[in-house]
Amino acid sequence: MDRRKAIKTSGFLLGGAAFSAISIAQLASCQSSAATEALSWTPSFLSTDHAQVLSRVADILIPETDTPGALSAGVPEFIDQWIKGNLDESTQQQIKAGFSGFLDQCTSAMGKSFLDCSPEEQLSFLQQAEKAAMDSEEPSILMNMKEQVYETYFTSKVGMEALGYEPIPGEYVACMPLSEVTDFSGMR
Amino acid sequence: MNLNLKATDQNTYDAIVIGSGISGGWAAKELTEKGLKTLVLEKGRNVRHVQDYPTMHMNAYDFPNRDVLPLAERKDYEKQMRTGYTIKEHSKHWWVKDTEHPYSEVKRFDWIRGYHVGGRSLLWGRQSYRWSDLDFEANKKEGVAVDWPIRYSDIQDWYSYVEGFAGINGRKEGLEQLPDGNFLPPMDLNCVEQHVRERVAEKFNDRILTIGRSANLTVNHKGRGKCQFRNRCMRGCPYGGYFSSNASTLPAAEATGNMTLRPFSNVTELIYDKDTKKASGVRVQDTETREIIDFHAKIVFVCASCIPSTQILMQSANDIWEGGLGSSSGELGHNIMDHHFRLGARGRYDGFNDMYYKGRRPNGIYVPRFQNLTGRPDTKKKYLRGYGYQGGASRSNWRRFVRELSVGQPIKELAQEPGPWTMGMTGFGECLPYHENKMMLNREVTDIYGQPTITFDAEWKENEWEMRKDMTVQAAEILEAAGFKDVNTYDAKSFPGLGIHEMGTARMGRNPKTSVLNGWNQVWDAKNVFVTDGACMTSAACVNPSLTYMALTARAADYAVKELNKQNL
Repeated sequence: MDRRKAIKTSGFLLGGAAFSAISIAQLASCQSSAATEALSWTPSFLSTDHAQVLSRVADILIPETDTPGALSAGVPEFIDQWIKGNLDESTQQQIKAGFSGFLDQCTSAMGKSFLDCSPEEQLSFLQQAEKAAMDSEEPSILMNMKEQVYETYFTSKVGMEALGYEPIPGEYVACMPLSEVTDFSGMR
Repeated sequence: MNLNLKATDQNTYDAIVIGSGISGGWAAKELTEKGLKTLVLEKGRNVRHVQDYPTMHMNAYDFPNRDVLPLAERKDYEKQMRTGYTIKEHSKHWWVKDTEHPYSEVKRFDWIRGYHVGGRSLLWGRQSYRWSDLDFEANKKEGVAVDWPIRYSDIQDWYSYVEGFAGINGRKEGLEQLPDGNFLPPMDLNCVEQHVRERVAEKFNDRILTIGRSANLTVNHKGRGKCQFRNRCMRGCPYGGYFSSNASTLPAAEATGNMTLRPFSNVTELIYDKDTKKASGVRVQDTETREIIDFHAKIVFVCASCIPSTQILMQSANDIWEGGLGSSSGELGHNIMDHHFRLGARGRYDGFNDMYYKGRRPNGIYVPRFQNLTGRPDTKKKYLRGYGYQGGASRSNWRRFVRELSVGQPIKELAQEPGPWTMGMTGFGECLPYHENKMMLNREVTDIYGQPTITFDAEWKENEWEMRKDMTVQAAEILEAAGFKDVNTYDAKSFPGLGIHEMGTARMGRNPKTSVLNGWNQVWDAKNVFVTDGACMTSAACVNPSLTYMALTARAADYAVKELNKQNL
């Protein structure tokens, strides 16, 4: 696939206003990943409710399009395992409390559980919560989820391939026109 | 006394080298190439070039925990993890477990190391800079510690020699304080770094920005393949694209047919003969069988790295000197040095938005020392010595979306545009040798082999703290002069040891009363014992030290063989 062409035809260069519209349309047409859907994996740390929240948020952050999204990349189940195997008990408890707080916050803002919201309502709540989190010094489970979802997706095989990852560049080209670049996997 | 003459005969060589890292590898190569039957003793396991680099081809997603060490294993590496970059799934097998190899700290000291064939030559940052007389003369001129017994002219040709074999890339700049070398073609600066180079040349008359000089091959060299720009050096390179003992010096030593490499060999002491005032050999604990075995040789090169080399001396000839071989100077274990770093500035550059780069360059920029230069009163500072900067410019990746409003945005597509250019510069400063900064033998706490361990008592002092104030300020000035926005200084704190440039615990000097080694790296109290790793350093300079260990080792090996042939050893 000609990656540059794909980017240009995907429409994101039209400007910020278009982004949300695209995403909402994608979400609306994507009932298979709606809230009521049962998990296709068994959580090892999170409760079923919290795991469903994580799955929905991951799907909203990086949806399936013509390329695989966070769910195809196995992002929520990896994060669930990650919490279990990498975080100490007090942090794990904070995360549990964070998910519960997130659900409470949604219920008071939207009048119903996050898991019962429509995809449009879920997106709208997440955008409000994101704004609030970024204006605040307080730790936020949404910001944690963003970080973990992006990190997990873009270090996954599908995520890295989507960015044109070349394991063996073979050469260093110090200054190259952006139009000729094929690997956007980053410098890490 | 019962002498097993046959065993002695079987265990006798012309030379013994303790350690197989940067210094030991060079000693092995030089001594074997000069015809000496040489036994190379390595405390840890064997590591064969390529075959024993288990993670060299793995991608982030090939690691079960995405290259992060799981919680359950972290307790084994409590101190080794202090760098933040050494203990990953891709690299943990190269470092000791603190639970097996403990050490103690009166004040925090970060001792980061691995025991295996190749040592830290597999793991080093590969930055390779020559010292100059600004460094070799400093102690004498300033009345600090003791004078180096050598000058640049004594080592200049040895730098050329080791560079020629190791393969150091770099750009000649004609600086007195950072002499040019025998370089392979330099790596390139990217657009923004080149821009900063030009602005620095325009706006400052005391400093330049150049590309780092590194031991990565920019062309195929001596049977090794050139760098493929994967930036995975620490895993071991399948192409031999950077200098390590495993890829370079040990194969050369092996090719002579004169080397016997013995892994799992923990040297517990040098066997000192008080009649000849020489070491007759070394005592080894086989770490697999726990058997104690003596090996004999005419000369011994102690290259176990700064701390272990000094520990071996401390544990030797205790019946004559309580503090060990070399302690008659009162300086063995003292004057420990490292570079202080982890501070500088960062900024964002608005421009070159249509430019990017290809490949992951395992090298960065370098701003050579520009303080307290010879014949430049305008560069005089409140503190002694100086520092250089390392760093680089890059464009941010998808990680930027965490801090941006990104919910509902097409992240996958946005991630196919790199973010803004940013550049960071980190200062690496010289630390003075202080007698009271020291390592001590600790016989109370033992390691997994039942051997004594080390206690550190060292700290930065006023000169380092004063220098650090300037290190953030000048970094910010450079970025601001080059038109960067949102320039921030930072100081992430630096403790002795964290630079992984331990030096000075068995220093060279001109007087046996104030130094452990003479100008040829010979122990004053045992002339057939040579110490050529970081322990030998009389001062630290501000540049990365490994190239100097290579040159000093090759020089000492040449001298040792000449002296042997003259029957002086």
